Amino acid sequence: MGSSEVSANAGAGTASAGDLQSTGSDRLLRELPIGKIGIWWFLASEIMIFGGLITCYVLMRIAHGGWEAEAAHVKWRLGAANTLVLVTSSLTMILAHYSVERDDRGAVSRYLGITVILGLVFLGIKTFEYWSDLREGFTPLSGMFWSFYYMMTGLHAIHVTAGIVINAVLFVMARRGTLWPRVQQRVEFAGLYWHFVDVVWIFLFPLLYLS
Amino acid sequence: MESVEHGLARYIGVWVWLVALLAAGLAVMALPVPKLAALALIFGIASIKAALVIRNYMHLKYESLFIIAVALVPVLLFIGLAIALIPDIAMHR
Repeated sequence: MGSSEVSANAGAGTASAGDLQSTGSDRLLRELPIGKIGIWWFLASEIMIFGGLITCYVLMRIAHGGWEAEAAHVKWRLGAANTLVLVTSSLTMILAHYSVERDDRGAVSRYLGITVILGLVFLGIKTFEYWSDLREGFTPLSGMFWSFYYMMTGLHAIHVTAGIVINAVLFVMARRGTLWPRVQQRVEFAGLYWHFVDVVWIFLFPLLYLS
Repeated sequence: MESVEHGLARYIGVWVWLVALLAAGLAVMALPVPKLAALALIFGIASIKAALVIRNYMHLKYESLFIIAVALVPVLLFIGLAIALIPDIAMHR
């Protein structure tokens, strides 16, 4: 079994797809770590939140059109820089998880710390972008495009902030040595949330900056 | 069997792909192609990037069918919602 397979089945009691077919869903639910079901259920609800918002944006844009002129004012270079920052933070987050599997405690706290810093860099760039937009007169009331822009990026920024807090708590716990022995699940679940935030941005960037 | 070193190389390789695809997405803007084709390319590239993260960093390719279903059902729901609303909103002039 590879390291990734180990991480995917972390925690006490897991079940494979084969078990699903042979023993039914009751046993599967009993044997999957409850935390893993919980985090994926939470992410599913998040998919509906962002999915609903993205659906509204796409449909309204198709219906009304003419948003190209407004969209031309967004700073795509800053958006691209933020995309690079966020995908890099996903790498450092998975490396923290990878270090857990190798029981390299120093690397776990190091990579968690770098992930927190990259999250703060993302928010810093986003704040500068908001400041620039507002200074140029583009407020949430400047038009439909800008209303969606601030709503979608703002909601995403709130999620980034939550991820930073979670990772910062794990970082402090790692430095104090209190992250163990349940480190595997804690880092894995925090990582799942952080990667989800990355995936949302991967779609928000072309929707708002490139189209 | 996948070695630990192999896992590390894969994680870094996925990141390299993500950066390359980001550059490709930006390059599409400069291509002399119709707007609709450019959008299809940009969102195709974004979908590949998302799939790379979901499969390799979120380890969905190693998860049970139950977890995959939990992740997939809401995606299908909002795609269905969008398709259902297209006649009512997007084509309502």
